[in-house]
Amino acid sequence: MISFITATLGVFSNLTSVGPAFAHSQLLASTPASGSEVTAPTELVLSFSEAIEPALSKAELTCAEGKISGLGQSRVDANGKTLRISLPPLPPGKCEVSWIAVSVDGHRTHGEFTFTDR
Amino acid sequence: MVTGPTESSPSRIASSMALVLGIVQGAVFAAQTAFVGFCLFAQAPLAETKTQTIQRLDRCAVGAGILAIVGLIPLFALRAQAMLDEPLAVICTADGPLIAGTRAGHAIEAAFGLSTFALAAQWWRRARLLAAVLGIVSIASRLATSHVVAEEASLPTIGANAIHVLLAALWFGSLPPLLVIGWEAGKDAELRFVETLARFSKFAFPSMLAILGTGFWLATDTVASWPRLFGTIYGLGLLVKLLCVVGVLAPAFILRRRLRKWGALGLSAGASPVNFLEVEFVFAAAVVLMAAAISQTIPAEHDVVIWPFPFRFAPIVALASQPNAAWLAAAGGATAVAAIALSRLAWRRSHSAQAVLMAAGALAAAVVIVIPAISVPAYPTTYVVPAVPYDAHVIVRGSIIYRENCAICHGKAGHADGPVAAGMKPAPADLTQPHTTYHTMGDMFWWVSRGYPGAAMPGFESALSIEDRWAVVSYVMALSLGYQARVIGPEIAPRQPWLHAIDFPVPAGRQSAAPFLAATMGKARLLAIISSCGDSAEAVRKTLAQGHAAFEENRLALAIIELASCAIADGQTFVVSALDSGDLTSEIATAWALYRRSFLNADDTDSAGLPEVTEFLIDRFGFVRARWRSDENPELVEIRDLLHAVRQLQAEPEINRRSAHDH
Repeated sequence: MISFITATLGVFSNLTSVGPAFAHSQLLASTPASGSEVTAPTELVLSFSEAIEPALSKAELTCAEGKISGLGQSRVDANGKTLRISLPPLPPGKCEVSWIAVSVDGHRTHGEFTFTDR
Repeated sequence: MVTGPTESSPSRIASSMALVLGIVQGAVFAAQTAFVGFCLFAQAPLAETKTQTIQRLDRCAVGAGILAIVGLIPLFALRAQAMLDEPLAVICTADGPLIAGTRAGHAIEAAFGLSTFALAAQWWRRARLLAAVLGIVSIASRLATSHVVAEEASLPTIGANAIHVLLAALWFGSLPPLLVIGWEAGKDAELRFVETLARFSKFAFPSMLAILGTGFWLATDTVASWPRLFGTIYGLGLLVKLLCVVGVLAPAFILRRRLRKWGALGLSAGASPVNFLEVEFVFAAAVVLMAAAISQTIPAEHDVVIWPFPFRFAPIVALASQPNAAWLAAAGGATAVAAIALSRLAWRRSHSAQAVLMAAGALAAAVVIVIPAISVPAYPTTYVVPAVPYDAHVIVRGSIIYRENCAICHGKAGHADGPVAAGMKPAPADLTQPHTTYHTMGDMFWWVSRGYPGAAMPGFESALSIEDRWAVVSYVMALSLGYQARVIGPEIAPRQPWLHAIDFPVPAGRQSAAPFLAATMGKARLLAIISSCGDSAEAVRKTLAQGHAAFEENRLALAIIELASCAIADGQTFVVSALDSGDLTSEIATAWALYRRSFLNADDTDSAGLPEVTEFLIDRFGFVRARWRSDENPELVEIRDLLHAVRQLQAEPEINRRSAHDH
């Protein structure tokens, strides 16, 4: 019932929707996952809700010893939504991932999450 | 404090410039559509129109075309600024070419080029039809950067979006030329204008129906649920747009009815179709601007929901948990029925406004009575998606935090029997009872953060991090679900997935570990076996040996969590995971032990622990559907029964959405 009423309202609210409905690429999932505890991860994988611009989307990693250098070149999968970055050996402890994603519709989002390397 | 799966937000410049960007985008769209409309109406004015008016339409087309092209320049600059999050002066010099190489950049460039050709065709050659077609293609070119395309939605959805946008463009673009024709017509030619409007209505009415249908499609895709409609900026923007749409439809509806009358009887004194059109245009322009502004916000389906009301509708939960709820619901229903009957009677006696007011008042009273009966308290975080995965590590971490901070009142096993619970009024909640599952994880997060209203429970917002608060909520939910999971046994309850499986890592390569359920969601069914060494391990070994080929054929993955190295999985190449003993295995077993209880082994004192072997069958959507305990079923699952269960699950569609955490 709820979804029906939502949909009904949605009809009217979109009745004269104009222009492409632009959006923002949101981080849906990651490996390592936010808040997870992993063992020697070799790759950072960020899955977004929308296709992203490879040249403008990136991520950085900061662990206990500071910003990690030597991250691999970021690659975007064929689906356009998954960003992959190979990781060098990480020090044990908590690491923070800072990411920036620019979706193909031109919207830029950023965010952070942490994981722990055992 | 409100937080979703991860912290994510639009960039600082994108946030501050979103409104400006939306306004510019809406203005460009309005100019582009008006250009198309002026060209088409100048080419085929629908009814006999003065040459002077057609010349005016041509001039207006040129003006709209220039506005569209000029508007695309700041739109490009603002888009580049939003994408790079740099001041305008920087991106114009250094990073400009980088933006030009993106899809959004290409789309604006294409729109610029096509609009320029269209303007040239109209201005120098008066090739109105060609100009209109180029104008439409210019609008369509930007569909390449639409939400549904970026999200790689299905082809029908992408098609619905294209139809929706292009028909809306044609409809909206027709209003300015109609207004010009109406203003130019003057009093002596109003009947001809009525004729023009009547002909336009033949196009507008079916177009509106198509816009409505495709809008329905797209709205359900983008908003998806009530909470997202009311709890996100995008959803609230849609509601405001809805009000504007009502403002469009009302005069359009009245005008359409009167056109028939005027067509048959002629215009009455004081009647002015242009006035209706003016009102419709004003609201339509507001809709355009609202749509453009909304397009700069995060789509509701991806945004963090901040619920704005102190209650939420949950009739089943309210009736089950609140005293007098059934009586209130009955009283409200009776009031509503009485209101309808009385107002009907009053309407029959006199068709007056009083009868309508009486009905409205009584219905309002019924609503006021019914709402408390079918709703439960809600909080800003009620529909927030947890910031941590529902996995073994998080749940074990939550159990440690629980013991340190919560067990003193709620008790070690959640029975509200902690050391200080005896003197507390109201008593702490018994977390093992079914009421726990009446609440969302977002409700619990609010209580853990801010304390429980009217009770002694304090908030832990300053003492625990966001992740730690979510971890303790995950543990409490797993604890409570474990008690409800006593009903789970060897038989599958058809079409009733409700027990969320606890995710756990499996080795992916030699070093790293990846969450298993998240990786196999929607693909394989899983038999998770938690085992210590003992006689029962022999039964597991026997099942594995018998079922090798059948498991592969039925896409049944196995995860064996061995609490000691008894080599159950030796020689079984189809085994996905045979985890070594250690902290990881211990965490998985500890978390999954919360789901061990059965009616035969309820273990209310929380002292028995896991049997030698426990097998859990998990469907491909991440729900536990069957369980075998070695102390209750010494042979554990037989291969024939297992395959029967797997085929039964195979036939089921996705019934419950795991990601919602909507216990």
